[in-house]
Amino acid sequence: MSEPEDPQVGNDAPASHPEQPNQAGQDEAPNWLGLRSDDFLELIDSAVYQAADKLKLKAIVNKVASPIFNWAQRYSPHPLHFGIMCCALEMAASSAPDFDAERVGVIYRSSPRQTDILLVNGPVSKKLRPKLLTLYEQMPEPKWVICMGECSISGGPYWDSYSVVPGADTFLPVDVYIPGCPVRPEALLHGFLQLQRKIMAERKDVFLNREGQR
Amino acid sequence: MTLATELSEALKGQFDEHIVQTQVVRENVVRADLKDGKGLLELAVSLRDDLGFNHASLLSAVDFIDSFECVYHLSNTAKGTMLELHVPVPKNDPTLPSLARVWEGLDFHEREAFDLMGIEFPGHPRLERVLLPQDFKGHPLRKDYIYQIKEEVW
Repeated sequence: MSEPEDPQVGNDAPASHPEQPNQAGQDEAPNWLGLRSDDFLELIDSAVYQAADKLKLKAIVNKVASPIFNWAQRYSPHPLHFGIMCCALEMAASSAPDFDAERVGVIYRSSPRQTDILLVNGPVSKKLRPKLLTLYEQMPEPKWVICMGECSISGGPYWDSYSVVPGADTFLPVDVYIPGCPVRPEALLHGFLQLQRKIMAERKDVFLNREGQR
Repeated sequence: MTLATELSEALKGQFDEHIVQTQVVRENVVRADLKDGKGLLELAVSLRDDLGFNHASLLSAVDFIDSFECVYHLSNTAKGTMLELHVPVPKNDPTLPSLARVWEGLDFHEREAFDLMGIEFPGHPRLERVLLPQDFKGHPLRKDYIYQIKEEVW
């Protein structure tokens, strides 16, 4: 179909080309359905934020609710059950009855969607690096990263290797470093307690202001 | 007459044109040195079918600075004998015929030897890097490989 032919056809043009109205309809996104969860969440969050802002409830609700949310966050650290090398054995030993990491709330989950801590416990090879980054990106917010052992802190004995990344903090935002080769289970528990302190220190706003974020 | 000396003499009689020398290393282990890798595929097929070496345990590559060497460890699980097959590989043309069709288990060993030592195996079903990323340059276990540390930017 070429451009000059259209005026000659005249009024019959929409009837002879029934694809055109459909294509024009597909260009506009069907926003009115409201089935996208992002849009729905943004609607609710902004409505709640504006309502709280107008009623001057923000300070009161923050003062009451944010310690509760913070307490719930810091006493349920769910790390990803992901073992790379020998520190993974210490990770297993720390959740065994001798040290019993579950008494401070540490429960290992196998899916990154259900976790909030990424425990990097071994040397990250160049082939593992994109996969580990994918795992980190799959975790829901809020999320933290713990470097366990020398290998993940700086590369350890493999720092000048051709295949090992020199430190997980070259591509991940790390919160807690636990030195040791390998890390003792007590040290790992101490690292989790340090992370609890860090979470307690950063008290976030309960209300989410999502306007202008997307 | 032990199994190892039997095997050594059978090798001498059957593959005289390929094998330079045979040697009984210890009980049930025989070492055989090949001239080159030219008749390796036919040799491997007859080792598997006639002498009963039904399992390839290991393939390792050695870098002597002026040449390479590939060592195949083949085992006969019925008799319990093992054969070390030393194959010299020239430095300027490091190729050997692929034995992955003869023993399926050599598939990944050959890929590893290609990845780290740079020995080519024509006839391999899928010869690409195993342990290193696909865009890696060079073969790091060679003695003339020079590694330079680079700071990563993110």
